[in-house]
Amino acid sequence: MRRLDTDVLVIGGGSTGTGVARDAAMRGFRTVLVEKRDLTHGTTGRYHGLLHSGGRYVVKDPVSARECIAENRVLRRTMPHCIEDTGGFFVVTPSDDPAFGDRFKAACETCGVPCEEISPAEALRREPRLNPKIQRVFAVPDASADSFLATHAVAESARAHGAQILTYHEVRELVRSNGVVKGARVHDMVADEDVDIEAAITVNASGAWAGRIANLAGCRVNVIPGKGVMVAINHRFVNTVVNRCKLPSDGDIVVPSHSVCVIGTTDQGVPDPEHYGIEAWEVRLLLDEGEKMLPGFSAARVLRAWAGVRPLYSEETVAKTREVSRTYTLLDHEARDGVGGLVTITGGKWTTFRQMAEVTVDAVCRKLGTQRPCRTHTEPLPQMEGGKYYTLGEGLQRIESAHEMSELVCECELVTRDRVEHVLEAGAETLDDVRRDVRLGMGPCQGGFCTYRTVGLLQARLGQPVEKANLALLDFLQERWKGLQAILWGEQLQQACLDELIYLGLMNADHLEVGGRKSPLTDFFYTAGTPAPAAGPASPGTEVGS
Amino acid sequence: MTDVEATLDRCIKCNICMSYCPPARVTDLFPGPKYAGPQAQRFRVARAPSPDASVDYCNGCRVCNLVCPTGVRIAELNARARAKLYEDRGGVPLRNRMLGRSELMGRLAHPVAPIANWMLHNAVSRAAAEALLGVDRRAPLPRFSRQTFVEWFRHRPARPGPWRRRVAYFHGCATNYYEPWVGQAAVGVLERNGVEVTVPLQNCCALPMLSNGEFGAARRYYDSNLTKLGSTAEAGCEIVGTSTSCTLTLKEEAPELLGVTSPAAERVASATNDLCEYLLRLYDAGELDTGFQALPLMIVYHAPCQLNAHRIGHPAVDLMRLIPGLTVIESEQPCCGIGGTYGLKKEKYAIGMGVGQPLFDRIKDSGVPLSVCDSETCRWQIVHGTGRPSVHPVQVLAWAYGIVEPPPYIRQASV
Amino acid sequence: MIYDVLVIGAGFAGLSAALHAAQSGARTEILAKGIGSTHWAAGWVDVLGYWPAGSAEPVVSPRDAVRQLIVERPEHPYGRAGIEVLDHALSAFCAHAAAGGLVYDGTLDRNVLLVTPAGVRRPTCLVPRAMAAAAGVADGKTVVVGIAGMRDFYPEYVVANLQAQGCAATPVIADMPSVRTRRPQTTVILAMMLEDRAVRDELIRGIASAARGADRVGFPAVLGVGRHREVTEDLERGLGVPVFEIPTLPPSVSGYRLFEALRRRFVELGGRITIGAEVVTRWADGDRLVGVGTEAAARTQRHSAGAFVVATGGFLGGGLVAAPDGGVRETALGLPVQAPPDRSSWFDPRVLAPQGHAVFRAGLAVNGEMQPLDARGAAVYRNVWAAGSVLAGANEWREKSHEGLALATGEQAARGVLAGWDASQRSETDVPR
Repeated sequence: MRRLDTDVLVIGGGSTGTGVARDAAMRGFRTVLVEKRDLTHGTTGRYHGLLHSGGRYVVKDPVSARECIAENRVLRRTMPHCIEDTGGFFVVTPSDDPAFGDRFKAACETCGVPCEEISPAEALRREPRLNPKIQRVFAVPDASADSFLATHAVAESARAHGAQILTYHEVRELVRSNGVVKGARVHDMVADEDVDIEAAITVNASGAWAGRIANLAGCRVNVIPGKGVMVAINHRFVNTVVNRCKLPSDGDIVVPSHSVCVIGTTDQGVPDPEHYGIEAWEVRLLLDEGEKMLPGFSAARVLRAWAGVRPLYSEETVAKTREVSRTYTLLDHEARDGVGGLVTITGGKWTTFRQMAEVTVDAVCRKLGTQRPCRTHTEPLPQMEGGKYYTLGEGLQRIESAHEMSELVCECELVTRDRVEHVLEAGAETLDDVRRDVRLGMGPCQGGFCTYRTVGLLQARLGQPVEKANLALLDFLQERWKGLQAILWGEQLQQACLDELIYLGLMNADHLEVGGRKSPLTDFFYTAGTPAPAAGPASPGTEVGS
Repeated sequence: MTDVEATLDRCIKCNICMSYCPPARVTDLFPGPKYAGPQAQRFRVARAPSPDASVDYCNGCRVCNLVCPTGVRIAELNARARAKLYEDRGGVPLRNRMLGRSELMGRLAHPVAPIANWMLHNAVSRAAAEALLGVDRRAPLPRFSRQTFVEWFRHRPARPGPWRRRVAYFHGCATNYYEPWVGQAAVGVLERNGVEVTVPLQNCCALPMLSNGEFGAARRYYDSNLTKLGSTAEAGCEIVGTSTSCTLTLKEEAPELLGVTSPAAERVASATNDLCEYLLRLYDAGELDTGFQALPLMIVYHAPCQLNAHRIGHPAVDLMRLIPGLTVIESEQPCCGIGGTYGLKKEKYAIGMGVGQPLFDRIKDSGVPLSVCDSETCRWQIVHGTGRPSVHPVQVLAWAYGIVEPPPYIRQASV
Repeated sequence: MIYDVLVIGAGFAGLSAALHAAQSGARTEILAKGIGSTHWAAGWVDVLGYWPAGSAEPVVSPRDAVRQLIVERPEHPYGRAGIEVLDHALSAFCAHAAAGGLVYDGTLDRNVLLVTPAGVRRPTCLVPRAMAAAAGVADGKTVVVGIAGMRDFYPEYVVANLQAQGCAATPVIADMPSVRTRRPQTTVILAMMLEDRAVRDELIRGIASAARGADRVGFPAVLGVGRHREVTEDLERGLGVPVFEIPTLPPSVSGYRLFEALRRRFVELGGRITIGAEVVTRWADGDRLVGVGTEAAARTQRHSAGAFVVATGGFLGGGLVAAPDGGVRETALGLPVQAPPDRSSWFDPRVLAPQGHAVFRAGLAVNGEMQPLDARGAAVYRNVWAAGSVLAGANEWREKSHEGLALATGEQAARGVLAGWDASQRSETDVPR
């Protein structure tokens, strides 16, 4: 059995965990991060893609709002290549109260969120597909963010400062001695062996799983997984983030994200961060809400539906998850539970991950009796490429200049063979890992063409036993299917038929040899449905909470 | 995004369009319709600069639209992207603007037709044109006629009736300035069938401007035509044209690409007909004079891309098959390669000729004395590529009606 | 223009129906919104690969298996068409394809195992000559060729799976300078390039030594388009061994060849085919369909006929459309559709569930003559027939029955049309051919 000895052990490979690993490593701590699947496999890889300006929270959750605008500025400075500077609108539709706009604007000022009221005509000029009957519009510095790219950049920076990032390492036990957590025993899923990691401080940054991990040390942390469903539309209906200008509720944000736009979200407590479903009413709700801001939205081609679970932390039980504050909480288990060597960072949102990491590593410093300053608010991330924001057309432009159209493996999302091979060589274990890195299969054909091509490259490159390649193909088809069932109709159903023709008719993939194996590496989240709320789906305008 | 652009959602990435795209078969400078149309469109942002220049190599043939099983308006997506590309580059290049101004060129050159023809057809000035403007020296350019169609029409004595119907003839720039005989044949054939022909005020349909990305100018020309033809359409009079490109533009391309949905646009579109389409309708109603003389020969008919884009079938074939003794073989080739003005350009001439080669070979191998095609630019390209004559279907009808004497090579061939 | 028979759809079913009608002397037109299934599917002709669908073992005798299927599922499209019509349709298909220059081999009594782009051996019934040698991969040594720069085919993967199935095979990648310079984006373009002798020589040179000692050489299906025979024979001569094609991701060159061959044949028989004609409306006189309208520039183009065949191809072909509320609509003529009652029963959570997804079995219910029925079981129109994937009840891609089903139901539909048609009904003013 392998043993590792480190100063800081970080559990969780999402934005917060990798943020902690980077910050700790930059401050000179020996750092090891363990993640049970691939980086961003949890909530970070399933969220809305929004870099908040804070506008959403100014009225009901001003603490969160202030955190957001501060970090908005920091992230724009330190990782602009992960951000598309779309700007954001808060729009008052005919279904909303125009007077709320004044409350909104005042609250923005109080919280320091830049907010400018523009005329509906100007808004329509910039975004012709907005509801022509919108009454008021406020421009804020929302932006669209790529959490996959950001997390990988952060992880790369952590490695550059000496951290070890261990994916596919699942925590099985937290090792305690005399009431102090001394580290963890983790299981390496790929090599199928245990690893003992000794650490001075263990940071529980496992997001929606934080309660489960804390439980391993006998600490009770009430993290409620708050499921949020999102739906992607096949093309960019808008190029600006569009929010409903009212108290936050379901389906009131549309975010342009790479080549699609994403509407979200819902908010329902679920018992298990790994098993939940997507219901027809949830999809319907989102599309109907989108229609109010963007006429024609609900008739557009829907590409996919998925859900992430927010880590909502609350000491008391709550009736409605929307009532839980979106700010973050750092728990020092020594003070709180008498268990030393363990801190939990939970709650929060992607926009504030860096700040969450900062306060966590500050706590680590305190616990280790040292004072080391944080530099993550100024130190730019690798591959910043001259400090320019991401633009949608840059990928297409690159392919034009290099004339490498025939090199595309995923044509829908413009992913070249070089990039796929690079990711395969860097150790992607599944096609889903590749997807997270390069957006493989995230376009209209949902893997119809690129699944085969990637498996072909995988086999050629890695010379693995063919059963493994076959499993990779079947697993990815299943993974894509999970996000499709809830939204298959119209053109996307037609697409799914073509994909059946290819994999069943042409490839005969239903007769691929897998040697009786099941993949140990792929986890399928959605196996059970979420019951609809007793009163029926939340209707817009009623305050489900705040 | 407009309606046309939103059709990108219908793309299921099946690659059928990529299999049939004529330029993509010949060159990789054009990445194919799926790529340049619905795929790239997802990465274009209206307020950002155009990320891809390769869309300029689309030749506008619209074969992709026809074969697409889901109805993506690929050609229109490409045309819009091309217009934006030029806008971003600071405007349409001079060459494109000149090639787009067929009517203006016609009006300027016509008074000095012999000189203009000499200039267009001698090696020195063509070399200069290639170097300065980028018009390939080998490209098939027409010759100006000494008398325009309109001049001919206005000078002929009025015909007495009786008339069963009346149409407005849209002659287009090519018939007017280069090939008035096509218009003359059209008038003769229509009159033979009891249809009175008027020639209303009109201007260039604007297709060359649309194809060259000059949407602003195209809009002015189109609006002007709507005004000039508006009363005709309102009066319920059918508009007929012998150029399938002009008629397609009035029916669909101009209003769609320019985003015009006015009642005037709809009226003119509904009133516009391809001439053969119109004549076939007469036939279906039992009103076509089928007293054709025998024309015992074999010809190859090539349906121009722009006719296929009308989606009305090949009415010229149905009509010509009424002529005793005439054997009509369809070319079954997708495109002659000229793409309107595309194949005239230096950087695209070879692509155009490559695209048209299978058609040229088909015509030459068939041993026929001539080919028949409804589009003027296609005919010029076919003549250029085969060395054999090419005529408009209405000319064949005029021969069969005895209105116009067939040329000597036809008389010889039919002996 | 009035036609005797108007076929809507130019896939296997539409072509089958139209060829049968045209050959019998009916003036036939095909109207198709676009080109379809031929260009996506592999180019072989499946009759029944697995029965029940999802069985591990392939069907040995399609004839026997179809007989069994008809007993178990009489409402299945094969049940409607019947074995005899299937048999005849397959022979007719071979004859038409041969007349169009493409040879197909095979018999209804025996499936043949060919090779898929994943290297899986897969049963099919009629085999294009170019794929025939694939049947022998269990014996001797097979070399599988890939072409550098071609992204739609992976010989290492094919070989790895062939080896897992007990076949001796090795991969080789041909580096062809022409392909490096010209960078073809699709298989069709590469196939056209290979019609050039010099380009073929590059390929032969690139693999000749690897192919020495092999019993056969497998290529991705890019061996020419119109001059396919010449290309294949040249390669066999140059390599000294039989060659075979393995189908690729769409576009299917093999399917493209087949479509062009059948299209040519149809035109030779006097038929008219118009691509780019989408049916958007119809005119009926009671229970007789009088005409359909296709979408044209600035108008609807009217087409009249005595009889109509709907072969619009299910969801994939666009013949059926599913709505978010769970409704399924037939798009050409608005015929009643048999479909699962609501969305919740449309899909199985496992993408490759052997029984398939219920919604994909949705379609038109027909009687034994292939006439679409209403809820009461009566023919909706007396002069409308239906064929192919638009029919309800088949699990095509798991049964591996797509082409056979299309050909059989296409022919049965055409027979239904012709049973009611009489040459003397043709009017005198109609255009002669």
